[in-house]
Amino acid sequence: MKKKPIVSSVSQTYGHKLPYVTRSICPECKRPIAATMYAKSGKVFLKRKCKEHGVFDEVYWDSAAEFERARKFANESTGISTHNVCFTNNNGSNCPFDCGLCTNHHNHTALANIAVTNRCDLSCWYCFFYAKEGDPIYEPSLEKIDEMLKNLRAQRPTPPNAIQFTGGEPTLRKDIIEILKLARKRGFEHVQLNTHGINLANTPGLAKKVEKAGVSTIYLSFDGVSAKTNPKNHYEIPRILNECRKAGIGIVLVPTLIKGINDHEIGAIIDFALNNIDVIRGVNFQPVSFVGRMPKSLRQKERITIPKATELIEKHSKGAIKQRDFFPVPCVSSITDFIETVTNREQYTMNIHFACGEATYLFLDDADKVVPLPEFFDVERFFNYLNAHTKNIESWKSKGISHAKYVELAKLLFEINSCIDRKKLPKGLDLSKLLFDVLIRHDYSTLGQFHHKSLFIGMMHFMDLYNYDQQRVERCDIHYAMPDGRIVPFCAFNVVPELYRDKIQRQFALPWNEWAKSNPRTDPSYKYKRDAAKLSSEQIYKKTYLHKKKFW
Amino acid sequence: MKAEKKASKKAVSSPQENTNQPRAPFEEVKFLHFSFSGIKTKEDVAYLQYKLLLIPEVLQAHIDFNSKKGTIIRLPYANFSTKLRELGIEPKYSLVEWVPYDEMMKRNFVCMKK
Repeated sequence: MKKKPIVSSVSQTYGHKLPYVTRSICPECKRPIAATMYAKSGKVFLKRKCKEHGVFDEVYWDSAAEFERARKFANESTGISTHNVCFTNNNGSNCPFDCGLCTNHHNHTALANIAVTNRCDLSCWYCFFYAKEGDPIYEPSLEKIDEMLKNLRAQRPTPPNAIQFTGGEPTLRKDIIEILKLARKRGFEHVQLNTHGINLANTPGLAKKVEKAGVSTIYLSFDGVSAKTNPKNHYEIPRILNECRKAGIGIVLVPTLIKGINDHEIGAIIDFALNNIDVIRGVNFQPVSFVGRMPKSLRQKERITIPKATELIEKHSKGAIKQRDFFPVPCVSSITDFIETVTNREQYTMNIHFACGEATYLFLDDADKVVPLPEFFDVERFFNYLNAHTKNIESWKSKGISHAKYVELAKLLFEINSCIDRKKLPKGLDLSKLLFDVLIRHDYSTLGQFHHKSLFIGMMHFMDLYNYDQQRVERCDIHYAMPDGRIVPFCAFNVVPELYRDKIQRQFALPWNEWAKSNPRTDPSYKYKRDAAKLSSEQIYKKTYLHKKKFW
Repeated sequence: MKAEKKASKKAVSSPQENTNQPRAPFEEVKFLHFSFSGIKTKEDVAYLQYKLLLIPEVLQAHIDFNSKKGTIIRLPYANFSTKLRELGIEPKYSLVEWVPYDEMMKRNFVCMKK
């Protein structure tokens, strides 16, 4: 029997056609206020009025047509049964000030985050996440991190199996290897390290240690292919890639996209990833989210949203990758709902808001031509088949005829083949077998082969004060574990930091001097200095940036 | 990359300690359960909760518009009732209890519950 989905008062309009009412906060005072999502001039806007600070009318999505296409994948979730704030009456009615997780939260944690330090050896001008000199140092102990990991894994019905360690710069911690091993020990199957990568480049053997400790993926900051667009680690990238290659560890590049700053390199970034497909597993673009107050003129100049980014990808790739090749993240619920119905077991879901993120997969054929997954696999038709069979099986089950699912499974196998265009299917990819293993045998080991032969291209647009939509926060499945036992959605943790990130880190931090005294061999004020001339003269630099194939 | 174009502040020449923040672990926390009246809208209640949570000594809080009840978990704070009145809450306390901090933490840590 399917559980009843959660529908909060704010979320009653979720998935509705435009215009509809949702709830947001005032960017000036943070007062929760009703907001209207509407279309104008081909775009989608979020408009609201604060009685004190006036009207805010912000671009939410650059394309109303793409919003309409994504809206089809809106799906409801059934929530979690373990809540971390369950003292009297905390029903999430004051979202986003009730985190977390409250009884109103729609989704389990799909990707957990733990900030292991607020120290960083870079001083990027745009970053507010690191401790400046004199600030308290936040570094939870191994025991506290273990507590947070256990807390995450105690979530029911579906605990998270993916964890990302972040900061500051997590590789500054001398015990980072022990931390990574703890995650595996607690049952996380997928461990990510969010890093600028410079220490992996400059510390021989560290990448191998990280791999041996159980890290599946390096989540690597990468804002462009030039030193101008990627001042953070442009010169170290060649060494980082090399170290990860030697260690056998995959990388996901994470560019933050800003209009007018690095969006002109969106095609070049994918091109770069394809040139290094042996070590780069994916590119996860993050359209910029603004920190703090920002004048409208500057936001208009620099704001870029998911549909604009996918439009640029189509343009820069000369049509090799089309905008329609991208699908919203919750589309995978067709797969998980089907498996759940067949197995009668709660499945890992990713039923986030359809406007939060999109993705596709790219393959290279024998002639090194880029082939997106939807070019040889009719994704929408496949989802429609799955949805129909899920409905049929549930209908049979309600009549007490559970074995009818085998008839539905047999039909599905035939239909899977009809979704595949074998003329365009990349050689060596047995998509039928892969889908059979996942859907029928529930064997996910072959997914590793899929990822090995493909490049994931994702878009994840985290919110800021100006485009804040409570319907998205309620559905968020990327959560931070906090040392006080709470688990908080990403866009509450970082957009209302005065209640979550900054407040909790101050509570659990040591004063600068005290931390320095207890770590006498570490200078907390240390900042990395590079010799750019030397790094750019190295053979590996030239090979990485200059001598490469163009895919379009 | 966040694009707020403020210049970074220069590093302070000598590190200064921040002594104003309450630091965990704490010994005890106070649970205040109360009812209230007079607040007109759900949004006003939510905003009030936000302002309460800005107080460093307030660890958690929930004020419910529908039931007109609230719970605050806080550290020792002189004249807290005065602070509540400044924020526009005239609480009628139904229960006030001191709870060991560890006990409060267990309520948040699912893995510690039996």
